Order: sequence, then structure tokens, then C-alpha cells
Amino acid sequence: MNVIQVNDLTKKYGRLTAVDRISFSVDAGQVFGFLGPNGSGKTTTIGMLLEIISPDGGDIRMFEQYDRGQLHHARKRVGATLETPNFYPYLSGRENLRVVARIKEVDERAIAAALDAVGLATRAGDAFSRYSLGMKQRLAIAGAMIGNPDLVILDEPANGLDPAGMREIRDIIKGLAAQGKTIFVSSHLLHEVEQTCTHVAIIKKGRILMQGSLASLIGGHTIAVLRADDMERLRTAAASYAGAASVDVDKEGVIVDLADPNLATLNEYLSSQGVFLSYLAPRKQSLEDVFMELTQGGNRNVGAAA
Amino acid sequence: MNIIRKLFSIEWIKIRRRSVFWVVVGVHIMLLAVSLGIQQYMHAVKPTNSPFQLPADWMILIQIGSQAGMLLLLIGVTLLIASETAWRTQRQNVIDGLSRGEYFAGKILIVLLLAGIFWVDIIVVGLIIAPFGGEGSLTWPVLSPIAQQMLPNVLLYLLALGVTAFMCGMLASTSGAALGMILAFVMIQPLISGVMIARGGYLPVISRYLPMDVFSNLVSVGSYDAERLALMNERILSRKMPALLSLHTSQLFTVIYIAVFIGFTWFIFRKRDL
Repeated sequence: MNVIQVNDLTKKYGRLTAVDRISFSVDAGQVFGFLGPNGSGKTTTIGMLLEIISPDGGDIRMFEQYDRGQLHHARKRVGATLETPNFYPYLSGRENLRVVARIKEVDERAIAAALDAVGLATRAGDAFSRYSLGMKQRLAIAGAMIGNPDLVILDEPANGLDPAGMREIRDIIKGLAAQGKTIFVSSHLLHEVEQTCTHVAIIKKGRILMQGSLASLIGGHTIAVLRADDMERLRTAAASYAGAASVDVDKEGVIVDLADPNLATLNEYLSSQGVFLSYLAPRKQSLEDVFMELTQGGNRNVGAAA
Repeated sequence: MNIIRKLFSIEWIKIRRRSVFWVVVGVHIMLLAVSLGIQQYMHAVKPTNSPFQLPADWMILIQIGSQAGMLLLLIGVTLLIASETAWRTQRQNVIDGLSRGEYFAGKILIVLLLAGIFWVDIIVVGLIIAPFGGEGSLTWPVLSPIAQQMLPNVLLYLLALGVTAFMCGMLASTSGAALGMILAFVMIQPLISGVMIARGGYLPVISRYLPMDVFSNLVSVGSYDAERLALMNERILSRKMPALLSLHTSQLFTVIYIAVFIGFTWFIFRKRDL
């Protein structure tokens, strides 16, 4: 089932186009990472999904509902946080969740379950203003979980957290995913996304540069690290190899992005060019490699991957 | 669940722990009690001073109650509503599932609640303090004809003030800005009125229809005492100023202002990104 379907979504602030005709879809059960540098349009996009920001163009379907009234009804199946955790500072964690439960018309027993799930049960009576940032983030996730939503949208949930806090959030997301919920999480923390998401979309300056399953994005190319006595000759020879999509040099050696994953063929070719390798190793391409390549103005021409 | 009950229960969770709510209500009660209590005390120490009595002194009670309540109600409603924008809980409430209309209606309920509480304060404090004036200071039927006429208009006056504060609270992005707006609204209007009167032509007549002028007519003594109104108008007309509005006109324009303020606020809120 298609949980989110966005077509040509656009938002302009004066002359600035914050979101520029983006399209993407999220299917049921996916953990969808929405990646982009700060100011790339992630929060604006989520705001439009949640109907708190009015789009200037395009359309949004949620749970395959398009009509405005039905869309509002569909949003009742969504739990979400946007930017910072937004709660009443003078109310306790429990009372803040009571507000959420009343809004969602959910039995108040759900509050205890949500607090338990995020490990806040023992501090539920404390005022929100006295919570640490990590606790605030967890309370926000607890709020999003109330009502057992089918879709959980989390905007930068690990923002500002220490490693332990990030791990807690990651575990919570994995726990939600294990329950079969669809999760849409925006972040600029690539390592976090790589560890939790099944699918990603990368957005920059309001445009989606790439989207697809994580496996297809980072597994589509093979990276080889090469070293030889004459590095310059190695670089020139590697660049002339027909199977090389790109060639770079870094402190590890010559980095070759290969369309053909067969390293033996590459080695054979270089030998034929009089270059004998002292080091040849495949390197797994990380999401960070893909992200940096795309957002730092890399020239890889990639379409939407399945 | 009935939607009004649902919205009220949400708002009640929010405001019952909010100190500003209890402070404005408490200060209003205290101001009323102290003002009337002083009158009773003065009578006790010097019996020639008249005590506060009901039903004779409804007009005094309403004057004190509405004047004491004006600033408190404006500040209370403004802060209770504007802080939701500053804390971004307005946005979160919508994310959690309230429609904009429901959120908006919830805030109207706060206006109704506070205006209602202030209105009840005036009556209850009056009824509690009056017997301290000695024998005969509270006699039945306690609701005189003039009280029956005034009390609904007092409620309308409080609602109009509440809606004005609601508008500022909803439109401003911070509590400070909202308070600035409402205080400017209250303080600048007499100046505008003065300028309009000084300019002459149709402007002095129009100045009588400015919101705060119209609202204050609802609790003005002259609106309920024909003789006093005639006297006031005689003095006003002798200074070549337009006569005061009649009570009916003031009621009508107050209702119009309430509708316009709510409609304008909704128009902006409905379209605004949260």
C-alpha cells in the first residue's frame, strides 16, 4: 500500500523556492530516510505533509486519500514530530501526552504505554521544562506513538543528542519498524539513517537528487582502492579504463568508481598498461559517499532507483 | 465525544496549571473584594458612610468589576493564547490531529471561559460582600430591573474585550508582541478618538463608533440612566461633540465588532503557515 505519494510538490517563500516540484512515494512498512543538508527543504516538505504549511503546487496523497477532507481523516493515522519537540513547558510529560491523547481521542492508558516505550515512565511527572534534550526528543516520539499510528513521521529526531541519546532514538525507531509501522524520518545524520532506513531520498536546495532503496543506492557501484609505485601513471591508466565511472585520488590511493564490479578485469587492464598494483581492495560505498557526491555537486547522473 | 466537550477538556488541561490563568482570576476577585470591603469597612467605622448594598448598588459593583476586569481580561486572554504560538504547541496540536477550525474554536472557548468567570466573579463577590454592610444591605429580590438589564451587557462587554485580546493573541507570533498589540489597541484608540474629534466634520461622529468607545458604553452608567445620559449629552453637545451612542446601538456595534474580529482572525489563521 502506498502510504505517502507526493507529486510535484512546491513551496515558495517570495522569490525563494524552498521545495521545487518534488515527487516521491513511501510504501507501507518502509523506514524512509529523508536526507538533506540544513536548509534543503526537509522540514518544509514535512510541514506540507502535515498540513501546517500550505503548498504552492503539486499534490499529496496519504493512505491513498487525496480529497482534502479525506486527507485530514487520513492524517489521524499519522503520528509526527516537527523540528524541536513542541510541548507545554509548565506541564509534566504525562500531562503533555494527555493533551495529545485527548486530541487523538485515545484512551489515556495509551499514555503509560508510550512513556514506557521511550523509557520515560519514571520521569513522567516532571515538568517538560526540566527535561534534557534527549528526554524531550523521546517525549516527542512518545507523543507521535500515541494512538498507535500507521505512519510515524520524525523530523531530525536525533538532533543535538549525544551518542547514547542517538542510540536510544535509533533503538526506538527500530522497535517501531519491527512493529510493522511505516516510518518517515528526516535527518542530516547519515550514519543514523544508514543504520535504520530501508529507503532514502536525498534532497538539496528543494530538489530531490536521488531516491530508492538503501541497498540500491549504496550497492549500485563498486569502489576500488588502488596503489602502485607510480601513482600518477596509475591514475592516468585507471582513468582510461572503460569500466571506470570516475577516478579520484585521496590519501588512501587512487579511488576508482567502477560500473563493472569485476576487479580482476581492472587488474588485468592495468597490467596491460604497464601498471603493476601493490594494493587492490574493494571499498563498500557508504551512504555518506553517495550523499557527499550528490550534495557537494558531484556529477554522478543517477535516476530514481527501485 | 461531543466536540465542544473534547475541545474544552483539552483547553482545561492546558490552562488549569497555567499560573497566568489563576493570577488574573485571583487578582480580579481580590480587587473586587478589596474595593467593596473598604466601602463596608468605612461604613463600619463611620455609619454615616453608606455601605455597599444590593440591589441598590449594582451599578457601582459593575463599574468596579468591569474596570478591574478590563486589563486583566485583556492580559489573561492574550497570554493564554499567544504563548501557544511562541511554544509552537499550536502547530503541534494541528500535527496531532486537531483541524485548524477545532484549534480556533478551542481558543474561543478560552475567551468564553474567562469572560464567564469574570462575569460570575462580579456577581458572586458582590453577593458575598454585601451582607457585611449590616442589616438590610442584601435584600431580595436581589436582581433589580436595572441589574437584569446591565448584567447581560456586562457579559457582552467582557466577551468583546476577550475577543479583541484573542485576535491579538492569535495574530502575534510571541506573547510580548501580542501584549504590545493589545496595549497599543487600548491606549492608542483614545488618542485617535481625540484627533478625530479635533479634526471636526464627520470624524467626531465616527469616533463614537471606535471599538473601545462602543464597548465601554455597555457598562457606562449613562446607558442605563436616562436622566444622567441626558445630562451627559447636554454637556457633550455644548462642547460641540457628538452625543453618546444609545445602548442598542452600542450592543449592535459590539456584536458586529466581535464578528469582524473573529472573522478577520480566522481569515488570517486559516491561510497562515504554522
